Amino acid sequence: MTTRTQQRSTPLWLLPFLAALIAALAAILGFTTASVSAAVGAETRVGAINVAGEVLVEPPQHVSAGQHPGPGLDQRPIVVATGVAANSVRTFASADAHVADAANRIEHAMPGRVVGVNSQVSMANGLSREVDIDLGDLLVQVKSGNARGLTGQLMSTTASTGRTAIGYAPDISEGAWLNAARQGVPIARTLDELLAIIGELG
Amino acid sequence: MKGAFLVAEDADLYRNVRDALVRVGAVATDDDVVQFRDELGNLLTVFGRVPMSTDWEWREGPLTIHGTIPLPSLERATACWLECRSERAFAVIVRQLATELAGPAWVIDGDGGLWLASKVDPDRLKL
Repeated sequence: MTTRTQQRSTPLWLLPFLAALIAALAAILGFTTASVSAAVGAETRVGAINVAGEVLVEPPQHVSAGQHPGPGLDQRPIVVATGVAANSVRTFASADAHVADAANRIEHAMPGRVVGVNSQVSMANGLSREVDIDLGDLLVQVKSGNARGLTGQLMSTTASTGRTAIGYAPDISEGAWLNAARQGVPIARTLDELLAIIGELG
Repeated sequence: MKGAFLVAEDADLYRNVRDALVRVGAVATDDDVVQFRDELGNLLTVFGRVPMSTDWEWREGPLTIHGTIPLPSLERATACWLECRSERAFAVIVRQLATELAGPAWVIDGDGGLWLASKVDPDRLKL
């Protein structure tokens, strides 16, 4: 019986490669840890997730009421960052109908504009009020179905918080939308309209 | 934001709702808002002042009637606006609330569904 002795030796060319790989992994882990955040509290099903590495290629467009950003706005190219410093586009989630769609469309068009989703904001009476999308100076209340109650809710939200409230109701009836419009209450029926109203109101 | 109207042929509807909720720990303010948080953290906020100019949102049809129920006279009724993110929490609180009120109350949900408040079904309710 013969015994074979194997000598293991690492090829010299592999060492710099391994060092570079370890450095790259460390950089990726550090970036991910720093960038991921999640909302906690009563609305644990809702959160904002930073998608590391996604950047908006184009600068945010500014639109005003009556202008239509065009059908391609939500098909803007998203690329994976390759070490270029740029704004990161966050992705929002919500269990409530249409809320995530609206928040993500706003975020893609106006990175950083969304302050919170399914948030609570202070009212003048000292209590907090639930809102669907907090844009800082503006609030967006989203309603599915025929949106009964949305017009009064928007008026009440504006009055109680001191911030302008905008509605987004893709399935609102024509009559309800017209009634709201006559009272000066802005309700968007499409995401393009929502972006236009936000652009107009600042 | 999810919400629905609570209506009743009761001129003191808000006051009666407020008193019932305060008895179980809700907080009320001078501007006719009362807020109740359940043990799971779900928030139900009742606004007693529905803008007069938006009465059409609950007084006018069409409404989809859920179940065999007595119908309210919406001409004589008054309304509160209730906000809650959870249909289940809303149903539990409103059904309990209905037992505390002197007369019948109804819910008109976000899609125009009309419910007897004591029989709101969280699986079909659309806030």
